[in-house]
Amino acid sequence: MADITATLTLSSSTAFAHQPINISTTFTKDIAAPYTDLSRKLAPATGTILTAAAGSPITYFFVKNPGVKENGQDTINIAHAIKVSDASGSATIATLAPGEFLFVPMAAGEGVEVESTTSTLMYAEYIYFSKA
Amino acid sequence: MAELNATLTLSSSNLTSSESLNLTLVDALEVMGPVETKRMAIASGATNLAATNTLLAAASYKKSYVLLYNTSETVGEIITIGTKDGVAANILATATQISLAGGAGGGEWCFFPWESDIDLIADAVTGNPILEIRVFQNPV
Repeated sequence: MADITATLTLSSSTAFAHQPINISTTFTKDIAAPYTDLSRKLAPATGTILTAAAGSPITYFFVKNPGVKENGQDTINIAHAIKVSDASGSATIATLAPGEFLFVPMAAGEGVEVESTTSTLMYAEYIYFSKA
Repeated sequence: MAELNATLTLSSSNLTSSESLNLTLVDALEVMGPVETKRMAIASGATNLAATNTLLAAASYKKSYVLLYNTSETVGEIITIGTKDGVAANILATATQISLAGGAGGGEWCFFPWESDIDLIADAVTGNPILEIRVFQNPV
């Protein structure tokens, strides 16, 4: 049985006056196929499904908007966003501006879809693991 | 302008027989204004989730970065996260999106940008697990 360790650290020396923060949280979970390595896919305006809803287990999902347009040019324009939703496209989980990411355990039977929010198509980076 | 440095690490030594995974993402996120940390007991017996289990009310925030952490050490104390759906009392029956299990040493967590366009609501499969919520508001 394979496992994955996910750790998130949030730190800031400027969010509060003279009170630096450093928050860290981690978990290790058994995982099973299907899973991926880090991948990149163009997010069309009509959406593309990364995992189908039907039969999907709880899935640990990382998605990032790397700020790379279809033509390969970089962008930091916050309008060049990626919408992450369930596989039906009806329930939005998050809208990622360039540089932003999410990490969520998606509920079983939901699936994940990504789509560019404007006519400027963006690449999405993702990796997922099925919970054993 | 304040900055929140988010570092996500995903690692595994047994994903494949020939490779190990060690992915580290470092991101500097702009934050400004309200920062909130709170804990809520998520009652599994709640019958009107919008009334009792609203984690974050959209009207109270702008776009924010949200960390949710199930502090329960009991594996079965799963917290499900969804969004408010009109006036339906128990919206998670149809709108569950995120599932955070408890576990020894602390449970699962998630991190995501929240547009603050719809209330976030929680339910629990069993028990009354404590959910830790951290919100950092974005200046946009």
